[in-house]
Amino acid sequence: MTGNQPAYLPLELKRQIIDLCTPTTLRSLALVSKLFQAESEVALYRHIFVHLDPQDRVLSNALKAWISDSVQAGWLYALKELRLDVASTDRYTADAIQKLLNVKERHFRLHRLYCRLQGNLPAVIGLPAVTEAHSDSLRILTVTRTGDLDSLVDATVRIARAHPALVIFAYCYLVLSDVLIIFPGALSPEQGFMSYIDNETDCSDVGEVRLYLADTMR
Amino acid sequence: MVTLVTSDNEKFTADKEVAERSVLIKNMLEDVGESDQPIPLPNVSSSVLKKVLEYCEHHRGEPLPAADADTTQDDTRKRTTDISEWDQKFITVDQEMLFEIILAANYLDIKSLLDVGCKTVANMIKGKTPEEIRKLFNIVNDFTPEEEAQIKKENEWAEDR
Repeated sequence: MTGNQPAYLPLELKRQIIDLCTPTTLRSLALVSKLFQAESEVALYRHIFVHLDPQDRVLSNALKAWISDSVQAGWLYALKELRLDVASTDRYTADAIQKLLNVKERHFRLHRLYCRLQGNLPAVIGLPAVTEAHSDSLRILTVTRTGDLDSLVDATVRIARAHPALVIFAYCYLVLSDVLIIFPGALSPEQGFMSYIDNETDCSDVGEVRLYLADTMR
Repeated sequence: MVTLVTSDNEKFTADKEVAERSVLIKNMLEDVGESDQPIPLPNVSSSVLKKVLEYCEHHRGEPLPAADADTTQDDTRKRTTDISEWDQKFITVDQEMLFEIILAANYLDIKSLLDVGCKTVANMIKGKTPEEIRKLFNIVNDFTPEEEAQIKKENEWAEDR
């Protein structure tokens, strides 16, 4: 056997190696040969990370590509995980994200959606509607924020009530009937979480507290 | 002690605890019960089994990874390509041996060794251009220049974060 080439490894082993590669390495691997192209691209199109900070005057490459027609329709099915780390609140960005998430035009079904969104962006992009649209496949939703806590908590509570089977990691905390769920973001000293919950939240019906210690965004 | 017979008919003896790092061997031993019968390993050569047993001996007594460890982490892109110092030294072998070890680890069902092998290959590829990868593994470019340009254009959005 000519075993000294990755090309000769069984498919499951090739996949195991490919799954360990970063996006830029996958981009290179897809150009190596036809044999590697298909598997590398499936892995490449499985995850998208959209990162935008306030200094960015243009959309990230990933977002630009995915809202344009340059991504082949055939690859859309591969997308399973979307990470949005967006600290920009302008309408153009919100529209772009909404376009990316619109499942009527895009035929993917997300399994995991991670959102770190500025201000009222969760409300602007319609996070509850997005969750509803992907509800058949979505298993994990992580929502963190750097802006308006009230609208985020409100949106997350609505999602949690509508989709009880969905695993949600939120920024601060959720009160769902008699269950209080506290997430890692609430525990940093600067958040003053305990005073907030003491003053603003009715916890009189809470009979169970769930405490999450890991941040799934990292 | 357990006796193992390789594809080139060489016999190796190993402590049961060491040999049972391989799930395949462990299951075979459970199937045959208390027996001195040698275990044939027709897919593993003596040079590769020697390396595999060296790995198993070093990691003797360490907890075995859970059977579903891979699936729970699957798709999360959180799997690292870090390899411990000893494992790195162990896997510093020529390319042919590296791929033989990967195939043997897969056949013998030694998950931690398979991980080390796959991570090593992933690290070899990391940061390399397509041409460098082809050169590294002696792969022929079967794309036309037009196909290559098209793939490049489609995937240019991808960046590491």
